[in-house]
Amino acid sequence: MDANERISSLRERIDEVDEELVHLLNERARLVQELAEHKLEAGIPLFDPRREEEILRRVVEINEGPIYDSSMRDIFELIMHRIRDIELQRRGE
Amino acid sequence: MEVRESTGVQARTNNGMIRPQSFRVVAGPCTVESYEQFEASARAVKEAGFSYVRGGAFKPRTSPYSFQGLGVEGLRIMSEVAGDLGLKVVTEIMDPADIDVVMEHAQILQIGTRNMHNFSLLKRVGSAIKGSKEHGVILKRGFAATVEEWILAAEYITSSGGDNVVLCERGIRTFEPSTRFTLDLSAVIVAKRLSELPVIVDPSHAAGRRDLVVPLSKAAVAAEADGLLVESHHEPREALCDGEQALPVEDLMTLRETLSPFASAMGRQVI
Repeated sequence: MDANERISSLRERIDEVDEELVHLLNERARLVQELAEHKLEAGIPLFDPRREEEILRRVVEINEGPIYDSSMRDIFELIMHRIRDIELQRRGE
Repeated sequence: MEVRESTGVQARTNNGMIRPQSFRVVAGPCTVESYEQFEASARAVKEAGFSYVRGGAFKPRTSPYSFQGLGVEGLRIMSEVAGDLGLKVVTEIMDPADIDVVMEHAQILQIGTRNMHNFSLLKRVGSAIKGSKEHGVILKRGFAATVEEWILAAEYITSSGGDNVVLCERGIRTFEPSTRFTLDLSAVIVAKRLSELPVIVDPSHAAGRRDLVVPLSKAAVAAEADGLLVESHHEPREALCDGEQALPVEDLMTLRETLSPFASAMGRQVI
């Protein structure tokens, strides 16, 4: 396999992983939406800093690299933030 | 008061200063300049029908050479005058060393925009007011802080045991020079949806000019705010601090009736 073929093959695999990530992120968002419904019913605030910190610590614990732990935290902070934004909007509609 | 175990940020829709279906107005001068000055301004607050008076004893000024406030003497003046008039005192605390004396003279401890990130102060204030039914905290948003950072700062107070925390939006730094800061009304709504802490608005510091205070106050009602923190002075032109943004007595007197139709439309009563 020459270099071009290897690159092409890796790119295909990256596309597959991205597709999987998109599905998984949306699955995560759906779970958060379900959770938010229950929180709304119970009158519990959407933003729970303790739980978020728990998630971030867990993510770092299971991180095997090569992504740095601090970068993994950043990535998940952004994921949580964006999904929370969807919920905030739903609450206002 | 309802306390939720699942999170440190607790729902406090009835936390003393803020009451359900009401719109609380806190008014008073930027700073305590003398007994006579504070007495005249506080009397106007009382006559306007409001029950919380604000005043600064320790002033965080940008320049160390500006008037820094009367300190403990200012606190004494406030508590004496407010006590005589049956008002409650809201004043800023800057130094953890002053917590005891401030709590002796004031019911609501205000943490200013410059101290929103002063986590040791937040924790000390949280511990100090723990269990107190008399005291509460107004936490102003840092002028460059995100809503999330603001709520996390409140979390420092609540996780240290302090309940009765009220957030205060006071404008953020933007490129717009027409106003001193830009009142971020969307932050009021977002903060309330995120945390369920009460949120009040300080249109005086946001605008930095008196002519915008009443219109912004109306907008604050519409943006679901729980109240206002406004500067008022019996002689704004002679005020030592922020006179250009203080409401004169005549405007303070009409504030309640001006805001009432808006509050009523939102199912609230101005108090």
